Amino acid sequence: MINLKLYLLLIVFLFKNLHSTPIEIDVTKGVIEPLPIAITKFNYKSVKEKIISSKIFEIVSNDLSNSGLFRQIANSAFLQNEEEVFFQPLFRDWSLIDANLIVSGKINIDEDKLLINIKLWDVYREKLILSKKIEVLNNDNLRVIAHIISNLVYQRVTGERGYFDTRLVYIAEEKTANNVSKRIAIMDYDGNNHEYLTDGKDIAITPRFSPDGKKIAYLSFSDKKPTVYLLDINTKKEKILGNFSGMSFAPRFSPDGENIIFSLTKKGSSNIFIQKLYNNEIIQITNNRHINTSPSFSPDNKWIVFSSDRSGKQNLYIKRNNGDISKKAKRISYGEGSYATPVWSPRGDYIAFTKTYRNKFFIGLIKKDGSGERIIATGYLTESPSWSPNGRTLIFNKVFKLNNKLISSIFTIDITGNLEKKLDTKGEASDPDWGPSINY
Amino acid sequence: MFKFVFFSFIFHLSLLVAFKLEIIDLKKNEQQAINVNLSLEKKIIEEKPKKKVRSDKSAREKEKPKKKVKSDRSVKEKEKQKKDMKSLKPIIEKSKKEIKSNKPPKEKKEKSSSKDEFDDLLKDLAKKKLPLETQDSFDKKLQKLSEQKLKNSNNLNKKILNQNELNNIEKLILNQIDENWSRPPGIKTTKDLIIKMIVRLDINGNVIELKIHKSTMNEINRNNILQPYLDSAIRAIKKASPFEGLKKDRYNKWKELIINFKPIEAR
Repeated sequence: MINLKLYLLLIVFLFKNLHSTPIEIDVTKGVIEPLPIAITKFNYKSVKEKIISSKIFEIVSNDLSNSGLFRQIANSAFLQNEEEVFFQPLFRDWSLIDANLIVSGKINIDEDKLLINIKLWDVYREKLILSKKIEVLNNDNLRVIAHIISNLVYQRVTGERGYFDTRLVYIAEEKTANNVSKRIAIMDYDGNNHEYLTDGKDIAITPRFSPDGKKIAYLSFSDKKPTVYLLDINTKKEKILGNFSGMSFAPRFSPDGENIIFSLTKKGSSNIFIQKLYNNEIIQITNNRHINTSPSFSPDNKWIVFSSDRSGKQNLYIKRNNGDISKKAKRISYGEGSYATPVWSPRGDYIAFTKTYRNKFFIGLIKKDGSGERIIATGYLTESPSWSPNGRTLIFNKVFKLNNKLISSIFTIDITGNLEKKLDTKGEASDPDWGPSINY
Repeated sequence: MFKFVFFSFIFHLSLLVAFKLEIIDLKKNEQQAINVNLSLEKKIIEEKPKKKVRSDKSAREKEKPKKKVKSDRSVKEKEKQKKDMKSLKPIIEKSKKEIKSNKPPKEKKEKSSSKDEFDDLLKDLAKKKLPLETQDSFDKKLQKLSEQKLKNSNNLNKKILNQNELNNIEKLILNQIDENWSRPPGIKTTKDLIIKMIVRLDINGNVIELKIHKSTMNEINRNNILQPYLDSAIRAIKKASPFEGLKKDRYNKWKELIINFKPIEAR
């Protein structure tokens, strides 16, 4: 009898174990769509604080919506008093209006100091996921403070640094009946603080930020000969880089900001050179009779990617950045069509490029080893990709038809090929470059 | 010795059946398991009166009406089995009680008899003609066994059906999570990143427990850039709750789920 009980027990145990094997499900797709977010007005007591609260609300709302990652829920839809949310949201009320996240805050002016408490709530997890206190001087730039708040939210939700305190340069185009002026313009990423850096007398193209965001290298067609210039953004002073006998193109800074890489055309062939900024020493990187152009450094400064037509049509090549000219470059693109303007991501994982195939233009990504090639944007004319400092968004030039007229604009797109968005610029725009964060 | 071999044979047989069934149907397993247990009980029930046949004929005669009741009950049991497998546990208990109630006072003596005696008993039983009632119960047993065989022969078809059913449950749940998973795009991920979660549901499909697998927690602690993926995965499950369209009579199959979020960047 004891034996029997023992066996029964064993069998029951066995079946219990078998029975408890749960179903395993793999979720790989998901949806990529803006996350519904409720941004409440930060709590205030005085009139001064109210003004600050309104301004912060406006800028943070604009930042988060602009990123394409968030969809702001209208404040009129809120079911809970905005003031109470800061202390404890009624999560059920917020899930009813499909808010996934809630931004709340409190503003305090203490003599010459401005204290801001910010809280980010996850509605479905019913959890406070970010709580931060910011203390600044009362007369500090409110726009900067608001961008910092946006960055905090963005970073908590995406895991990567925000870019709301960055600037962009681009070429502002003005077309008249018999003339086209191309000037370099600079602005905050959201279109504010817009400024022209060149006067438009000479055509300027391909502006590129220095890694510290203080200088710009660009190409100017003064004296009808393309020449690389270096421009100080604050002082507006400029100087010619490498006054060569040939024509120089496509300048770009090294990640440490000490060198400039560009291509130089002589007797029908283009080769790549590096110029050291502190002593103007020139190092030749390629030496052949083909067109080698559009060089870009890897973020660790160890590699250079460029395009070359040595195989018949333009393809992407990488080469070690060790000054060894004899070493052959390695081809990484093998798809159909021709590849141009490669730009290495600041994260180092991808190289963005422009591709032309059957009269169509594409913006694509490829890995250093030539794998993982994919197209993320296309259009009548898409070109000049440039990375956001966090390496997850690209900015590029897109030309589209509107009322039978070709319009050139700047667009941003996520590296997954989602969330394409047009940026506001003054007039037509092309050739954008995304600068680094300016505040931290 | 024989007793030990006999029981171990039954045990291994049940093991074999159990493993076969695991692939087929989880709930089926539970039912079969109870079936196996029951048949085990019945063998014992049937064996014990046999012992009495030999030891005391008069006692056997006295026990006849009791046996009748028992065999009637066993028919009822079968019907119940078909009707509702969930109510089998009380039946097992019942039959256990029966064993106890059917035990004659001489049982103790029987138990103390040697193993050889038991062997003899089995030999004698083989030679002897069985009384009508015992014959009946044997017939029923045979019938039951043939039913069992028939069931097994149908297992292949059921296997396909059950696999389909499992696939359907998977699909239902996957779709509901997928459409609620708003994943953060463009995060630099490691190739084999998996957000593994264990979810328990109540009968209405509500998420009642959500656990993050240890491997995932370790991964997140190592690289907190992946925290947003975990956040989005938790949000997806909570948003999808309650899961709809799941059959309540199949609750055992979906009450616990393992969900692996595998964010594939290049699509």
